[in-house]
Amino acid sequence: MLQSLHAAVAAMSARVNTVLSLLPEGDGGVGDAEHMQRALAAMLEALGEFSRDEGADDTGLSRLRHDLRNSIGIVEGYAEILLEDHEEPKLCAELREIPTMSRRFQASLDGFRVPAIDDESTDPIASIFKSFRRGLGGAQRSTEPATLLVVDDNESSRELLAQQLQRQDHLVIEAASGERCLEVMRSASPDLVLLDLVMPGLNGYEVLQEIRRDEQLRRIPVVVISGVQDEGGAIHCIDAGASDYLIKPVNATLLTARVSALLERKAWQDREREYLAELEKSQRFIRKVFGRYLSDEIVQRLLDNSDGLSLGGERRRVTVLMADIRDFSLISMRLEPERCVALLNNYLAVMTEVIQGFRGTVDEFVGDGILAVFGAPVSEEDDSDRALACAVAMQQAMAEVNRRNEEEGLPLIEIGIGLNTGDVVAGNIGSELRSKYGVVGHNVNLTSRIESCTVGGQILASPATLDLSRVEVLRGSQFDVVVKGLDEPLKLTEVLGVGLPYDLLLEGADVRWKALASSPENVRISLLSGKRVSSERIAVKILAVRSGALRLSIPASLELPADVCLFGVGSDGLYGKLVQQEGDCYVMKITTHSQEASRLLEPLIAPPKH
Amino acid sequence: MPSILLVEDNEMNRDMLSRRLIRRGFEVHLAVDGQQGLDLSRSLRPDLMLLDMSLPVKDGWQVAREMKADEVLRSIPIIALTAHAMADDRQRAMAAGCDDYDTKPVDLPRLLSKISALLGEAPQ
Repeated sequence: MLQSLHAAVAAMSARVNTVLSLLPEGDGGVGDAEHMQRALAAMLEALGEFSRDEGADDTGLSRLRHDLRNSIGIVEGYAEILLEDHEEPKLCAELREIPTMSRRFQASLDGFRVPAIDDESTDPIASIFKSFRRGLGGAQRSTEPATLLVVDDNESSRELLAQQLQRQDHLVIEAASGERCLEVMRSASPDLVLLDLVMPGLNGYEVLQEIRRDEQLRRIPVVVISGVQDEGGAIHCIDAGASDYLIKPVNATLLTARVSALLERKAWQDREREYLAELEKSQRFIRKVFGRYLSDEIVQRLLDNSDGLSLGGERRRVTVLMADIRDFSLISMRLEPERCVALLNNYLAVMTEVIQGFRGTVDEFVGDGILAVFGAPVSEEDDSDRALACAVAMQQAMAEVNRRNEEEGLPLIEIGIGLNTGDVVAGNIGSELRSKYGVVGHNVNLTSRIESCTVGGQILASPATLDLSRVEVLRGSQFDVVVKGLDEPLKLTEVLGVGLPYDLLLEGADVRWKALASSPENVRISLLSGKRVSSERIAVKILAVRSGALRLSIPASLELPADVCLFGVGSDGLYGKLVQQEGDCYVMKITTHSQEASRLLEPLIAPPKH
Repeated sequence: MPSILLVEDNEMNRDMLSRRLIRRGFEVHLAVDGQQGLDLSRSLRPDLMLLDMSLPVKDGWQVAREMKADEVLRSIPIIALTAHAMADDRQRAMAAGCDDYDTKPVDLPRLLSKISALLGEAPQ
């Protein structure tokens, strides 16, 4: 819960950073945006302090809420000022997100409320009477003997109180001044303090403020005792952190009831603290188990937020990445099951690291397939950029996967990656017994279709992903694909690399076509339907070669993409996909393993001219 | 032009809120603590006071009580602002003599409607 507050503030801070980067230098709004940053930094600090404070109680929470409300107001206010002063669309779009994020943040903050204060209640000390009633209930049971500190400058009032408390078998220590009270609290750490409000030197209110400032002392409950004429001051002390107050002369029954109630509450809080420590231990375990699949952020969300465990979801725009090993069914048939699993583990381990490195979420492993999302559970403005860069990095990391495979005598593998951006439903999906954070929807299925159009070593991205990306993308071929459920063909673009700040290029992203030394005779292709090669052969001519692709002249009109098998080069057929067409000139991406393909194609290429 | 005295100890809050109010046509004066708030309301006689409740030197409740105990100052309407949203906060602010109450973060349209409601009723 605290973490989701933290994440929300961090997300706003990221927005404001963008705002700052969009503001022209010397613009009057820079100071305003910097104020927003300062307020957000103060919020992060307050949250951090609260989470470190083991003894944080209702008072600490109330303080935290107060500080956060103050600061979020500052953030919202400056956002509005900036919006009024600026017209640049990108800047305004960023700023308009702030109130939405703030509202979400405040909703989480309100969810933090611990005691259910009755809204009908007009009594400012209603909560005190609740504890009073609890105390009366508890008075039937005898409270465990505790150490109580009585603070009063008047000796006779002090003794009167001490006697009443000793009758309940409590151990009573006394202090005659506010200064002495603080000393004794530090040395003897009593279970409860009864504090006179009006004293020479430090008065009760000032003592309370000192106690609030002290990490250790603020856990000890304090009951303020005042004369009836100072009742207003005593109520004021509740604000300053006192647990309760009593009016002089102190009624013995009331005193017993309240002391019992507070001691019981304190014991409960101590137990709760132990319980939380236990909980943390088990959370560490959960983190270890789930951390393999989910990014830290989601694990934290699942742990902290009871909402995180409820089923259902939210609609959000994400970039979906799907990767698949080419010909995996063939590879797995040839391998023993253990070796097949070893191969997959090599691959998945390397890929998971790459994906998490780009703050992607590995949503699912489906056999040899990987489904990763960028933008859930937390959206960032560069989701599509990171996804594109991640895809290139994954292809690059295949060298490492294959190096490991080679070491272990496993076959070398290639992957294809599909990228798409759009709305999905994200959340915990499944049944009460088995559910996981995941994404579903048309755009997930679409990504799978895009991925199925790829050949080994290739990345294909949908227009949505490329439109949203701000990073420079080195594009290879483009082609239209007819997709079930879409009226218009989808234009897919081959991604060969991404520019700064990632600066990643696919290995062998050689886009130059090489002329042939000699054109082989009697080359034919057959269309594939499913896994079957059709018996019809079409005579074709190889025009040029580049890494992983052929340019063919085909005297027929074929629908793209088309799976084909090419005969006449090498003894077996060369499998591939027709992906591009200009007149009768087609580009065939080779899907047969690239090493095998280059062995066959190398002899065809003309030696470079000198 | 109606004048508002904004009593607020947080510098950023003061800057942000005063600028938004000025843009909506108010003359805004600033005080940084409770005592200054009382002093300035005496010398400036603003049409309305926006009073943060957690203030140094003298807190908002005390300021409100003193304002309402003063023959001259009691006619100045006070809107209490607090970042606590407890149900009894409103009650306490009203008990101290505030004329209305609003929570932080400030929702400007809501605050403006409260301001104009009070200014409409306030004796000119």
